Amino acid sequence: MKAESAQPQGEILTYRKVQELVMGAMARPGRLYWVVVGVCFMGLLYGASCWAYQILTGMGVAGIMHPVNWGIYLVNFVFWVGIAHSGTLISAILYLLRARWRTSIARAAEAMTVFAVMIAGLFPFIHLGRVWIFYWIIPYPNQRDLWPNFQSPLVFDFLAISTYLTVSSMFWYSGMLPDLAAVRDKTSGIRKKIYGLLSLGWQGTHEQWRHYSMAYLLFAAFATPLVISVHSVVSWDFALSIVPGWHSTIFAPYFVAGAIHSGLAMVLTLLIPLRRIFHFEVLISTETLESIAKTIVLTGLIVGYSYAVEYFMAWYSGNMFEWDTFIWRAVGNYAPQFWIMVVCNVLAPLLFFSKKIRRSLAWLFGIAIAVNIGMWYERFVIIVGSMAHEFVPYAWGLYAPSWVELSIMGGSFCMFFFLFLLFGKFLPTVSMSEMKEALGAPARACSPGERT
Amino acid sequence: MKQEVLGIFPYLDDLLEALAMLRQKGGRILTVYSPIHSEEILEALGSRPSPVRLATLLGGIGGLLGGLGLAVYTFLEWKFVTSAKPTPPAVPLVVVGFEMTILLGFLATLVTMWILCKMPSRRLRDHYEAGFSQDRFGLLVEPGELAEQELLHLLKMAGAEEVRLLRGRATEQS
Amino acid sequence: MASFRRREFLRMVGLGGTVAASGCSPDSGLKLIPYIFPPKDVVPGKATWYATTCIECAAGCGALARNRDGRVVKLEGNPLHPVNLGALCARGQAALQGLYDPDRVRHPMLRRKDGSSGQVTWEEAERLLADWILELSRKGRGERVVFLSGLLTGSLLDLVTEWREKLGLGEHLMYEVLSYEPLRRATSRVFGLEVIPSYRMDRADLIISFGADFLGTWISPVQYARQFALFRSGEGGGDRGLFVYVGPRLSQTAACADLWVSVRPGSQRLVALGILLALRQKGISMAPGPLAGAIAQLLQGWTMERICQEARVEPGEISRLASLWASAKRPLSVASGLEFVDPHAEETAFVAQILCALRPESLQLLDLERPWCLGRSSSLAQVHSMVEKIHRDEVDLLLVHGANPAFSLPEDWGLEEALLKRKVKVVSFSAFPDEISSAASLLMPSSTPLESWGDWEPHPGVRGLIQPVMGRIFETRALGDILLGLGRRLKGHTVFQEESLEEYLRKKWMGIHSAQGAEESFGSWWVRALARGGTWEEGTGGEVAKVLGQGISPGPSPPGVDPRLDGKQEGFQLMVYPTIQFLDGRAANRTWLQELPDPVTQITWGSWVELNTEDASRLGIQLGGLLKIRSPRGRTLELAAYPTDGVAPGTLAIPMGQGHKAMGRYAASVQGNPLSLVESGEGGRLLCPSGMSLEKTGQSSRFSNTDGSPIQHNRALAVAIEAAQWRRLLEQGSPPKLRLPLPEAYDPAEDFYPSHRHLQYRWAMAVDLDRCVGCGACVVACSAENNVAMVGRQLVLEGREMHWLRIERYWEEKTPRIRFLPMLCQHCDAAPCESVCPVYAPHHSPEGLNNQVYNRCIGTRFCSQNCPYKVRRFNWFTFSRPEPLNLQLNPDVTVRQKGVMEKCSFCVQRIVEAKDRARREARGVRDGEVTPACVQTCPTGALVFGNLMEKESRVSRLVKDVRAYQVLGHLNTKPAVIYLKRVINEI
Repeated sequence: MKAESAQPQGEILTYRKVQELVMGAMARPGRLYWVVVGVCFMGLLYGASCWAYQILTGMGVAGIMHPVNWGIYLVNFVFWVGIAHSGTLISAILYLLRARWRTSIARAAEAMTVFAVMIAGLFPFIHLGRVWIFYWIIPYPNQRDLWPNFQSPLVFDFLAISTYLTVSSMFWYSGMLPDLAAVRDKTSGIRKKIYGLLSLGWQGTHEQWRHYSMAYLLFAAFATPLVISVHSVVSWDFALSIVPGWHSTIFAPYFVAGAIHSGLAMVLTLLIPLRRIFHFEVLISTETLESIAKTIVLTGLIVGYSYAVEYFMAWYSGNMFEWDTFIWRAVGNYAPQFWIMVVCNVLAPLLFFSKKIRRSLAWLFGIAIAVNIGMWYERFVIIVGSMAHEFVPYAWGLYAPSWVELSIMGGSFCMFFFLFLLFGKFLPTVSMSEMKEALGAPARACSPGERT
Repeated sequence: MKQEVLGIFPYLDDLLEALAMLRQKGGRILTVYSPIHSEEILEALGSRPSPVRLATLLGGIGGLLGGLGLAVYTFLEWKFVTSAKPTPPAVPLVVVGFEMTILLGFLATLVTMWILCKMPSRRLRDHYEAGFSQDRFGLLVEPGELAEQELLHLLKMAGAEEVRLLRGRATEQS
Repeated sequence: MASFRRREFLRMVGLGGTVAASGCSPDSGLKLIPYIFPPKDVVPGKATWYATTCIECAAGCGALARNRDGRVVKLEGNPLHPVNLGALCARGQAALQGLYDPDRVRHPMLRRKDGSSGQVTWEEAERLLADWILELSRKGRGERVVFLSGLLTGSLLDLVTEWREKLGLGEHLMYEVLSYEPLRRATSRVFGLEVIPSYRMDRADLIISFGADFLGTWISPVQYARQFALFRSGEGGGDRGLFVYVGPRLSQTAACADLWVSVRPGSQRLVALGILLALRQKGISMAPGPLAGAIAQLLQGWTMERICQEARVEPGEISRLASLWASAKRPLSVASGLEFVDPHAEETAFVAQILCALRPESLQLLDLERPWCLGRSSSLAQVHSMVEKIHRDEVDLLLVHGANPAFSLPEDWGLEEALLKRKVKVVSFSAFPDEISSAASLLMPSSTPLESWGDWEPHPGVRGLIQPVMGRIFETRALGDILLGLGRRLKGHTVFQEESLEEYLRKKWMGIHSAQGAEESFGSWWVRALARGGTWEEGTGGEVAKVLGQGISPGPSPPGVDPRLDGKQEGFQLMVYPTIQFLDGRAANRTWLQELPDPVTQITWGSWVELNTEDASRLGIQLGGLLKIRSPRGRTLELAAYPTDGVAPGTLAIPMGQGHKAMGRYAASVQGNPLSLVESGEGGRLLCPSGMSLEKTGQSSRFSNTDGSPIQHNRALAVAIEAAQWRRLLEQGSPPKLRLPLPEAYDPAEDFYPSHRHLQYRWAMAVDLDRCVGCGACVVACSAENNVAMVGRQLVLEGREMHWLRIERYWEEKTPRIRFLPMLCQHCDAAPCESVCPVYAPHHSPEGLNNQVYNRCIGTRFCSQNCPYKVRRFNWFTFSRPEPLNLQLNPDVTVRQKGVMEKCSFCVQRIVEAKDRARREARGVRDGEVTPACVQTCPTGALVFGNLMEKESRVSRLVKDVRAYQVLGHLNTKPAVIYLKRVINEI
């Protein structure tokens, strides 16, 4: 990426300008904002009450059945974990790769990650038959000396997701410290106090910078392998089983690519409105969005390749069960979902090859939405499409989500936007310190502006 | 009765000049405030890489051993055979070890970083300027063998837009 | 096996003493343990077994009732009883739910003129009825008191007769829906005895069944299923037998045939005639003497062309059967003898028995010395005349017990309106709120056989004892006690000396005892009889049937009796077949049976009408499309269509037993009763009309069937092998390579992990698909033993049935033929379900069991996802059972909570019990000592359970059989359930 890409043509960006823009976004919100937040919160409450209803009545209120024991709860789990990925990818991996265009969007992407992981982490519990004893999956010492089975992919899952939640949230928070300090110094009264607490007394002394920068680098170094591992582990929930359509070695890379694919799409879906609402055109340049689009093309191609390879393997293995499953996916009861998946994930992103489309906000937004939908259906096709037609034809059965499942899913989306809206208003949505760093320090020699 | 001088700089290159001069003239540089992370400042101060790395290494190793240890222990506790796999099995340990390495390594780094940065701390230093988190650089110096007036003059020359003489704040620096 | 029976015997003798001493105290079962003064034979926590007799149908199988803490929790076949030798059918297993039926009549009820009904005490009820009878007999109208019951035998029959005579009351009719009257008539026409012969299928080497479903519902299904298994395995002597089924429907019995000849109902007799004709044409000696004339008469005017054209079968088909018959050593032909499934039942049965009469070897397979007691049930003509009498107001009081004519008699006899309009008073002794009871003005509920004393004589030489296996749970009385009570009230103790039915029974049996002339004292003999479950001569001798001398009546000829039966007529021919679940509908209120998938259609909860796929496509009828079925006389019935290749074109096949208006919450349904379509022919015969017309209503409904796909998509799950190839393998004698669940089966080339040991036992099961007849007895036994929840129609629709064991039914893709595949937890040695569980809920026991720890399960359902056999069941809700059905719950098995995964445990509780016994006796568990519920009740012995580490155990021997294979063995999960391929003779 070119270094200038952080420097938009025309308008001159200064430290103060950055400050004003970002802090401006944190100004007192209007009525519309509160209305939207309220709506999301209501949706969240509704989803929660549906979950309560399910706990009281039994899993039967969901559409899941024999043989499809896993429904859209786990579809959503994988979906949200996927969303959670690009955040860390952008902030950590691109950080290590010194891709400067990440600077302006890293913060928002990380926020997205943290919220998405939170929600993703909820779904395995929602899906649990006896959630009131969920903690038996945690390796905690107890007098009966009962431990979880570390062989189980679900325990892998638990470890990976909880680690990922810890790391991504602390990574996000640490990155925010200097900015919180900046906000603290610009505000007064109760807000000053709150941000003061949050900033942990950051003062930007050279000592703090010294340790902080080192630590931040190491965080990135940790987050990078972690982000790869997490979705690999998620994929092993399926790959480690013997179910035709799941039992495949390609799953780890395939899922990681898919995760990043969906994550980047979600970043676009969130950033484009954010950019419009907060007038961040200067900070988040079209070039930045364009680079995301380019990356989506890449991930899209990887995902498409994975689909193809899956079919090839199914055919080449000569395993009739595999082959039947994959044929059935394409032509069976869930064929519509399958083709939605193919079109949205593989074909739609190809449009980004055209520069015009890549640079048009409308197109960017539309295709991003398409990829989100497509990736949701990918998980649906993988999970449900494999369960419904397994080894024993007598036990075949079809699944359709019940209103409870759909409500809880809706609730999860409300929760996500609820959190993200709060973030957008009360936390610096763009990393000021890094933006400033990217601008290059003001020097008497060639300082931009400030000269009288 | 110690004295400290705080110089506030709008420009980084000025600050760096000042740092260089002070070091050759033997003024004691206490703290440099900066709104951004700048390698130049650290170089100018000749500070060595942060010891956080060590904590990271230890944390990582601890996590790895801890994870493997816990898993193996629990397997031996009951020796449940599942799916005809040996107890303890080799393969799944990889995941446990890996995740725990990252988790503990990360946490160790975080905590050490906070300690070294003296965070969280409730109060800010009195001479701390709001500008330091916005667009101003600060330089806190002790005259050392320099005469006080000389120091003030030097900072001014270097391009400090403001120079403050702080009295009786000897206890400020810990 | 022998040692096993001896042990059973000893066990029963042990408890017999206590039984004789006390019987079961009436209030036991209602109290919870701990008892302060427990009844003698009830030891808290310890099961007591009572030997009794199952009279769910007339076959009268011997049964053992397992009583835990005063409640009977399980029924099993009595291994000593000659009829069933330890097996019990689905209905027998479900007799428990009759006892615990939540809708039972719990106390006497009086229905007043205004229709309101109220509870009355026994005292009141008895006085009331006594007064009625007294009044009538004063007026000299005692003759106009009619006693209508189901089939009765033994002491109870004597008691009823005695009672009627002493009180001077009118006739006693024993009405059975399935009375096989045509078969009886045919037999009398050929052999001069109007009886239902017992058959010796095990000794035959060819069976041609003309619509007789002897593996499911016919006369004595458990016994005949066992005989069939012997007949197949050739253990009855000689080679593996051939089985041809001629009938309009591919029934569960037909599914076990080598060849199914599909003909319209009523054409069975034509095929039989055809065989006879072909035999004569082949010049096979037509056993000279009396027969020849009859046959000549019979075949008069019949040519092969006419037969084939009317029966719509290929001439080749018939000559093929004829040559089979000719070449067989001991051919046997049986006919349904039911007008419900064969409008010409009598003619078919007649010809079928003529066929048998051709060969002395065949005659040896018919035992007329031991006719079935069913043959003594009243003829329909008698029942009809009784109905007529009611119409003519010649019946004042109708006492009903164990018969439900309001449900099953032809509507055009108008019994129901007669009961309403005429002055006749109905008194019902029925234990259940059946249709006739709803017309009764006085209900005096009798106890179920499981709560009463009695005996049952399925056929001469076998007397089964019935004894209360637990205390009464409601205010009911045994019929015998009711009658004796009334008798004493009317005539005093001098006339009716016996205090109770038990006493009456003892007296009767003293007679039997002295008749047997045993030197043993009655006391000990009685105790032994009780313990053994009755008395019977060992061995199955019996005279060879003798063909009647001159004048075998060829019957009405040409046998085109009724114009409405003309095969060439337009429209569909109706058949209403008795079902394995409900027989004639008496068992319709039992969830175990309602949720037991029909063996052929795999539908639970509800009824349907089967019609041929071609007819369906011609009329544009879809699966589940709601049809209005109209009979020529304008009777209509609405049922959902089930198009299938399993019925002959032009046939409408409807299962019997559904469509109750009363009978309880589970039986009552919106669907109509197919028996209402049955009409009365002349001579009190029944008539399933042809010329039925169909009319689409436009609506449609979903079947709550349990099969995800009717075929197995070329996945070799239920494997069959051609007989010739099987013999070849036998000669080579090389056992197939299996991946057995044993350490030696682990092969570094195939297995990533090393093997693991088992301590002393490695439990395993062998399933012989060649013996499995798909009767579903195992399924019900499993549900009873393991407290498996019944979920109801809606949840079955949602795919949430809970059966641990299911009989998968697969249609063959080319020929219309069915394969059954019992599917249960395979207890794999490398079980995929185990390692995916995060909390060790499923794990491997040292004895190879795949344990499922319910309390540990947190409900991730990954195990079920990862089970290739899909045999794990998840509790989607906390399922409950209405009072008093909950009393049946087996205390040895946890009742599962919502959110928990469950599955077949190989009846681990029984394994533990056996191991305890073995430990007490300081020995290992013997082969055959542990029998899971399914294995225990299998009539054909298709399931064998045992220890694979014991090299000589039956299961160890069976896994070396050339037919042995493992379902999905290639997955290398090393399943511990080994299947034996079904053998098919391509005829």
